[in-house]
Amino acid sequence: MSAARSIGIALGIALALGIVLGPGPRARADIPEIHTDSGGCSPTARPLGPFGTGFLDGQLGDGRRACERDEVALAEEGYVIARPADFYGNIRLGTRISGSVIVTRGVSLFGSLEALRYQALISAVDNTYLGLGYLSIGTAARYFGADGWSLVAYGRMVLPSTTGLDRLSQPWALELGTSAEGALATNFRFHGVLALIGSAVASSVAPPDPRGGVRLSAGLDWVPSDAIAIVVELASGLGYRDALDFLAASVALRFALGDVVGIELGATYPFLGEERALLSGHLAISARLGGGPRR
Amino acid sequence: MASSARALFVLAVGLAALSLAGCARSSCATSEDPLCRTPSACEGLEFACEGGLARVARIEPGEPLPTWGPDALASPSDVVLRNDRIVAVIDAIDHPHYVAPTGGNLLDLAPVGGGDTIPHVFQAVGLLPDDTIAYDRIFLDQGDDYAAVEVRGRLAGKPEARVVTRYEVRPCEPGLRVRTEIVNGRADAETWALVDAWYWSGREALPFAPGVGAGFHQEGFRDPLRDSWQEQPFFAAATHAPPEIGFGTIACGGSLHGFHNDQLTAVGPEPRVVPSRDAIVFERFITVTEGSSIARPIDNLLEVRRQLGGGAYTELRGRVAIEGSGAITGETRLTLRIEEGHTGDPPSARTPWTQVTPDASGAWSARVPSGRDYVVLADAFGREAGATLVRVPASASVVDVEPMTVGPAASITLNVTLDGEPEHALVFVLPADAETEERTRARLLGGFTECAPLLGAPPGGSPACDRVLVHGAARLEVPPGHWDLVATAGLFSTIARAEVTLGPSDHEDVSFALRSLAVAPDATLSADFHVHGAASFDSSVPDVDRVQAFLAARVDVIAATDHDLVHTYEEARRMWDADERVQVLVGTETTGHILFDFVPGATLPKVIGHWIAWPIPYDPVAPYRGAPWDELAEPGLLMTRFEEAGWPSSTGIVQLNHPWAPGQVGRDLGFPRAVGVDLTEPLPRTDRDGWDGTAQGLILRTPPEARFGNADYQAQEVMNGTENEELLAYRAYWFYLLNQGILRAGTANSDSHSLVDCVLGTPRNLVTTSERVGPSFDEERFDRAVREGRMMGTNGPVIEASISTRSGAAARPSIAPFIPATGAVLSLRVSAAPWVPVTEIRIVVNGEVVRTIAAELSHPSDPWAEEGVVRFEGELALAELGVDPRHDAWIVIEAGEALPLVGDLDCDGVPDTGDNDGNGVVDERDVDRNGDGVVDARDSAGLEAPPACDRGAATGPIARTPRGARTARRWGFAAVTPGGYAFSFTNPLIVDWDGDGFDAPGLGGTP
Repeated sequence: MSAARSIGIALGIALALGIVLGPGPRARADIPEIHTDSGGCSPTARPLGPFGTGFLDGQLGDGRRACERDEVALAEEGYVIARPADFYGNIRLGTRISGSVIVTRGVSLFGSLEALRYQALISAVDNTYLGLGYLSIGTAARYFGADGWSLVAYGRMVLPSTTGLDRLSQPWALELGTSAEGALATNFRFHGVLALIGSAVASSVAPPDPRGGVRLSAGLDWVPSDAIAIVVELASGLGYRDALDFLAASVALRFALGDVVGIELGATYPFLGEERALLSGHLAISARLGGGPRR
Repeated sequence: MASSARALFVLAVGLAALSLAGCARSSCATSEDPLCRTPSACEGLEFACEGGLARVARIEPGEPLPTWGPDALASPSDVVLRNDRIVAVIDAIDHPHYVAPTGGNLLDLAPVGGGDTIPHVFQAVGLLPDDTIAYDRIFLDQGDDYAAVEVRGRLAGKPEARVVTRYEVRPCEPGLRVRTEIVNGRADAETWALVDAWYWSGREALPFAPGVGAGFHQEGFRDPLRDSWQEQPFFAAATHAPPEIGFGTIACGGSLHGFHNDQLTAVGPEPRVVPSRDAIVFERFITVTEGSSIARPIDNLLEVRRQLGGGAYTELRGRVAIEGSGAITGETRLTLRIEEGHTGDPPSARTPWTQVTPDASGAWSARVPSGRDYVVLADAFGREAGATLVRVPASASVVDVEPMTVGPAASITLNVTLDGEPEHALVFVLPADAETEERTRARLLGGFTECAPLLGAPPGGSPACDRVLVHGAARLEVPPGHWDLVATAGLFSTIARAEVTLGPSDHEDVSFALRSLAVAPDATLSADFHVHGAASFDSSVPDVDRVQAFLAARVDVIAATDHDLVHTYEEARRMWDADERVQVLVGTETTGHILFDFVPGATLPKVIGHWIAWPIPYDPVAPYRGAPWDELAEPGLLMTRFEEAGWPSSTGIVQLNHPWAPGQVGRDLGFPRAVGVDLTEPLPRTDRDGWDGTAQGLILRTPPEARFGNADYQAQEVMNGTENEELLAYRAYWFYLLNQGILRAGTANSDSHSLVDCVLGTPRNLVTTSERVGPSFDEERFDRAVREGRMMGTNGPVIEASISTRSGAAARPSIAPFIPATGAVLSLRVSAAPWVPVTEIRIVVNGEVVRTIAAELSHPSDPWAEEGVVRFEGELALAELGVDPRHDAWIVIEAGEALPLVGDLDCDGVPDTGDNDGNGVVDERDVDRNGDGVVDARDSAGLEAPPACDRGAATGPIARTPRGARTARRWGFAAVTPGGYAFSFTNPLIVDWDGDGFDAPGLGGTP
């Protein structure tokens, strides 16, 4: 695919993203109360929001937290399909660098790059890929923040940034959704995501094969102290690869080491649906840099 | 809300992607549009000539078939592509062949006027059955300057993965352009190794690919398997029997990746991870030429490479002479290998690029990449006989190589008579000393069977390897040396030996006078029910040599059982006037290629092994020439298909072949071994009314949609092959069935695929019948005798056995029960040609050897003479043998040499391992654990204690019997029965004391 076409595609999708996200930060500045309330967002460095399933490339369908921060993070991710009866195994390991920045009141930009992706396909003839993974960029806009609750609308675009994995097709993906987070009771916090996801490929050989689906997840953080949380999450996917893509359960531990360093460790197990993963999970360490609620 | 929003979203993204993707072409793999046209492969390639043409057409019924040759299988509805240089046939979607689940693959390929010698070329993305391609549509595309056929389909086990392959010819081009596109429409990433798979099956072409230390020396599968895919600029191959044809493939853009062995070539783009919705495209040019030199296809491939920017080539020209007046009679006598490097480099450091056999005048030419240094190596009788260095400048289009000379051969004129008349015979040329053997041991171009001497291509016509067919007189060139010559005309005549020592240019006349011997009883016909010729995908012995081998073996009846098709050898029979001497029963041997899940609990899918059926009506134009499609069916269903193809179920024969032969390329060759029958446990009797769901229960079950049960065959091979190392396993299975009252006729067949792998007619059956070869032969009556087991099997000894019956008649071996007379005796006569060692006779009752006769045997004083045929004659009372009137019993008589010491290390009741370390005990130290073909200390390194007897224990091998010392009495037998030991057996005598039907003794039941 030519560079011009790549740029055209990127611009087109960015435009679509902008349109879908609706009014920009300037417009939302008319509602100052949203931004003066913490929306229940934790002032610690403990990770927040959806844990994410990690089933799709580029964090597609993983939702976005409702509490934005200035942050950088490094994550080690893993994903395993093991189907001995089909002589099929798929192991994906990656190192992801993520970051987010609050650009103006209630509006943030975020992005992540799978800086190193190792994928091993196991069948009669094994194969591996080692190289750059997928890049995703996005933006989130807070449209409600009061009474200990915060709601954002967000959009994420996944870009074909691999080095030799996608050879004749370049996949593009988009996720649009809304995310909520707030306190349910003492020591219990809720987070949820509703999102639409879609993707297609640009290829000289393969058809665009557009796919779309819905992602819905809800989770509960038990927060015995500011420094630690135990998270359980139920996530569902509909319509992307089948009527029911998956029903999955996640369990994660989240820690705050002071106001700067956060750690998250957890795994997701799909127990129903077409998703073939045995398990996916990640270990992430993040550093808050300034933005967002503070103690 | 969610659904409408989702729909809008998908639509938006889809439209965006479509528009953003601009005018990108979408693969016809995913299109239902018949007008969708896949781009031609190898754009930029151009060949010019006068009067070129390109045509595509479907073969219509009644039209002459477009191809000929041993592997030509085109039939109506297939599609033929032709230009002025080549002819190619793509099989119709519903005419699948071999491993491919459907048609749409390259079935025949030949130069115009040349014969087809490729079994099949099909596409796959891996090694599993799901990885093959099931095409479901076929489109013909005739253009002004091209002709093409496009097939579309899906991966056999992954229908979301869509595939298209376009085969195209253009005027003047010496080959076929092929483009395959495959799109991963699955939701997950896949690992794909898209390949063209060329099925050689061991005795067809020798594949070649340039590479350091490679060329014809290809490692095939490596561990790990992924490492088998080696990068190579192209590959080529050629057959080594008439019609000699060469092939080759080069990728149009990039290198080929793949592997080669004598069974298979698999080449394609580099295997890789293919994410969801990504695709693979493979463009290649496949060339075909006449001749056994791979230089001819490689010349074409280098021209393609040059045009596509891969580099210039230079034509080397030269001349080779044989000292004296020696003629270059073929590639075995003299051929040239051309390797990049220098004369001092070891072979492992040189890169072979091509190989060419000079013409009769010694002239040769071959193209090689320019700008490199090469060594031209001359091989005579498979051994290096000279070398010269050639420096090829980058700018040279032609380089003349300095003339080469190789030393002269010796020659022999053979003259064989039988009973004073010139006759067909087989003559073995064997080294008479170790020095000669060491100096002449060779493989043709490093491949095929190792021979000493190498007189001709082992899979080809005569001479082949170390033997030659003669009819009267024949002249033969041999390397100088000390040779034993042994002539044979089958099991029932003398053999003769001559010893010659020949220097360079020496010539000797050698005459053999063989005599017929009265060994076979009257009212018998000798028969070999399992033979192959070049029509089989795994044979290339020409029909004319195959039929001459029938005659040289002096076999009366042959079942023509070529793999997966029906073949009659009619033309060669006519050429030799063979019908006066040999009756050919026309049948087929089915050969499972497509693995499928039918064995409960098996880790891997399986095939059902090989089955023979005759008679099957021959149809010269039908797919498989009248044989049924034989894949994805249990034996009972296969027999149903036989019947639908015209096999008469009430009079014909279905034969279970080599029941416990080890598998090849992941395919079992014998049904019981595929099922994993445990011979220590009885078969579940849930046959007709249902199946108990066990693997063991498969043996007797009737599969769905079948009119036959899996055990409804009539005969089983007890002996298969001249090298009878698996004999004891087949015998154990036959005894196992007899003990359970499953009575099937036992047969003995050569399963010969060439003049070398097995000697046709060794072993064979002696069928008791009043039929005689010729126009009056009644096949139905003959087959009835076979069905009833009125025969014995032998590679030399002949057993005549009978028991007096209550009616006063004599009961002879057969699966028909009889009532013995009170005080009945077993009358026994064993005879054999003097060269056949008979050291013991064994009486087997209900599977146990109850009596061994050895001391009472007489032995001929001279194995090369005519006297001493009868070895034993006498009577044994049944009571003496432990057969008492309270229990029915079956009796088998065996004669020959003592059985080798064997063990059953995995405790499944099947002998599996010989005493390979020669210490008199069969144990874990006899197992070739590292699979290097040698049992030594390395195999038992780390073994601390004997492993428990379990079904997963490592086993084997049971070694072939070596030829042994020249002075040994059995040497003559060993010379004409390579790898075997003397053995013969009768069919059972079924003793039914009370006439109420045979009550089988059960497993391990002794009377």
